[in-house]
Amino acid sequence: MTNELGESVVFRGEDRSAPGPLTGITVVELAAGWAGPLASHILASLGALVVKVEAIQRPDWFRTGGGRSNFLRDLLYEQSAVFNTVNRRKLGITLNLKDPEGLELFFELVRHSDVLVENFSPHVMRSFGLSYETLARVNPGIILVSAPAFGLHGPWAEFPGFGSSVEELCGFSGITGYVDGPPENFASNLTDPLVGAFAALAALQAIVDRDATGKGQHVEVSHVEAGAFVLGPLIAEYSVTGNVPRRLGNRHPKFVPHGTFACEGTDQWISIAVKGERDWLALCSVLDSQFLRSPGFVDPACRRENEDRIETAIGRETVRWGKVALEDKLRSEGVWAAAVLSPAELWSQPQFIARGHLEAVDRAHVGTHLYPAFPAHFDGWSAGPSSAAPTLGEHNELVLRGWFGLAAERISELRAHGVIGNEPVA
Amino acid sequence: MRGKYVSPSPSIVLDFSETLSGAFAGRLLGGLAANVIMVEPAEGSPTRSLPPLDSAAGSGESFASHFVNAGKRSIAVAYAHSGSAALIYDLLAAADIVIGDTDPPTEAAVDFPSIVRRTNPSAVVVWITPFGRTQPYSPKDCPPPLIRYSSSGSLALNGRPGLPPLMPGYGLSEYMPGVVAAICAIAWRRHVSKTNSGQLVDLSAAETDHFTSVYSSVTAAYSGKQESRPVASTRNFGIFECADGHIGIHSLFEQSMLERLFIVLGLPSEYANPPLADSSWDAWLDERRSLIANRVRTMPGRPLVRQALEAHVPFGMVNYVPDLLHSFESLNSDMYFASIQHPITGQESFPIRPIRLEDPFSSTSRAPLLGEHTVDVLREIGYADAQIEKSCMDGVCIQL
Repeated sequence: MTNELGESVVFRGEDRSAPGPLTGITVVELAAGWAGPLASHILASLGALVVKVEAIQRPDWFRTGGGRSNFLRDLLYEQSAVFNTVNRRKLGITLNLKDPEGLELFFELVRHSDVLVENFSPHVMRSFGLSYETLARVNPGIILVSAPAFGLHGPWAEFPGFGSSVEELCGFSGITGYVDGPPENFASNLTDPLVGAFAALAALQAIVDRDATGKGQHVEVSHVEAGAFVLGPLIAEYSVTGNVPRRLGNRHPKFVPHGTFACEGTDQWISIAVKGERDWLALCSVLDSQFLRSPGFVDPACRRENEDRIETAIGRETVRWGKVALEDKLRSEGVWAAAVLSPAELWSQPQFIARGHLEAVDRAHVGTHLYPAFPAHFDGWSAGPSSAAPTLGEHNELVLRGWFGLAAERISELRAHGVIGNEPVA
Repeated sequence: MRGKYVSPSPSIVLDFSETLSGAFAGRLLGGLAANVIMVEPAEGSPTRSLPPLDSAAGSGESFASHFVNAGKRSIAVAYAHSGSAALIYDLLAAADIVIGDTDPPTEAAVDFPSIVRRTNPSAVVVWITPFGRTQPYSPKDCPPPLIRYSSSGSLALNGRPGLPPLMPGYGLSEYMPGVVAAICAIAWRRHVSKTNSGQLVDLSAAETDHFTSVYSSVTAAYSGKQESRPVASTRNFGIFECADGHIGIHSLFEQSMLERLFIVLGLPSEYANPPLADSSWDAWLDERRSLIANRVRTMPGRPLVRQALEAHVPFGMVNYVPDLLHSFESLNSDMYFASIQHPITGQESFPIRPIRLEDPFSSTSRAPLLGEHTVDVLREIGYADAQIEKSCMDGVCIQL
């Protein structure tokens, strides 16, 4: 297509050499943090064109570094690993939606798009005047995916939520922790990516529905509803038996032992799981422990009764081994075992390397690093190498001039008025 | 093939899953109006023995199966029977989407996903394995998630210093690969409707773990050093004991939010002032954690959470399953749970939808009994009644 200046422009995913499942779909992302940006990153990994919209007055908080004295001087907002991971495969523009001109340009973007992803409390979209009804008047086919912490309606709708607080509220923390220990959260919050994936799923289903009806819709993905959904088995159990699940550490209801044990070195660990008698005997043979060889322990029920003592005994033996050597030995004997790899060790994880899961991406201000690729491999199609996460407002010119045909002077005015820009407002 | 199934909308999904992840993908597709058929061995799908089990009442029924197989139908096939392969091929020919994780023990079992592709080139095959379908790790059996989680780097940063790294409780790590599988299934099914060319999706659960744990490996690569456990509490204040349980306190991201946090706790807002030097950040955090712990120990958590949320500070009460079902307002205000009658365990409560679409996500039917729909499914793929009767009599398939 060409713009008002008669220039050829790339829009609506036309730049894909081979058509993928979402080629031709354009997604506008007005989201921050993890869940919303992950949703659009997933859609981009399936071929959609994604335009991320930030404001210099309020950049995506996942850029982090806020509050630090050198935030602006050292461009910390361009050096966030988490932001630069989850925002690959996107174009990035800045628009101040509190400014009428910024809002007008945003509507122009919506007019040419298929999906809008946002993950704010409902009042934020209201404050911009961006109700679904307003957006649908601009583009009746638009699919609005809203992913607020507590849903769009109800007594908690306007409350704020972070990944960790949602984990606590939706029941994840209560069932996670060491035996007899307090509830625990996760370093890599589970609810945020889960919600992001559910939001991508919802967007896809709405696209399929629109293929049939021609109509867009407003889709809601509440973080607590999506999170609590996967506690379904425990909720069903409680509703029938009254049983409230207790924290099990790394233990497993079926397998014993099933745990993580210290190895030689500082903070080095191996996970071991035993599925039957043959594996148990093989484990005993490798670890060469008199105690573990007690004949009664062949019986899994006896092992369950003595789980504390067995875990202690295993730990006494595993500390004599390097984690990788023990993994190799146990695997060669057919026992489920895995060295606990640290994040830094992942870069040499042979399976990840063999499958091309680690992709090198060069990004301004941080250089070239390895990032995780989309976890599904397809037969005969891939979205191609990831583009780096956009620097703040990196594609302002491309979109405003190239797509919308704005003259250079007009773009300068927008910049002068703070409608667009490339540096956060201090 | 004994008669081409005239495929209506919704899609026909064959679910060969033996794990929670695969079965959950099928469950999601069923909720989005697909016609999902569990293809089970005669002894029943291994998902029927996933914990938690109804051991208290003695039925041995799997509540995990009741949840992830809700809304599906079941056909039971005796894989040991020589006629089972033909029946499987007939089923495959009728499918739009095939989901699985383990090759079924039929003569059509060697590289089953590729066989599906050859049998039905327009089908979308989604195969979820712990490490992907290609070497060097492609174990013949499916280890429990702990093993995969250790290898994918997802385990290392969770848990407390000095104690073993910690898994998410009760299979929580297994749902994410299922959602990604459902995403791929829908995306490629849409593509097939335009191209009539199917797809084989090779989904690695370990890669899914890594893809969705951005706080770990890339952060380590940027900083050139490994973060120590628990990384979660370096970004948040953490979980504290309070008078009626445990409360999570998080708000390190914004200065104004931090000030409101201390006001809510009845502490001077000056505590929110950042350390003078970035290098004293850890000591700053430790001091405030200690203050907060002392402050909230005797305070009732639920009113405090409410007060904080009203001040736009994201506190979280640690909720347990009964709280979710009975008292957490955000889940109990809009028909989130449904009660479903199961013929063996009786009345069960479930959350019924993770997302709200205009056309509601539907999953209020119970999970099927083994082979409950064998006859119906065979009829739908074009088998005559006499043929069905013979297949059942010969023991190729099992009818409830």
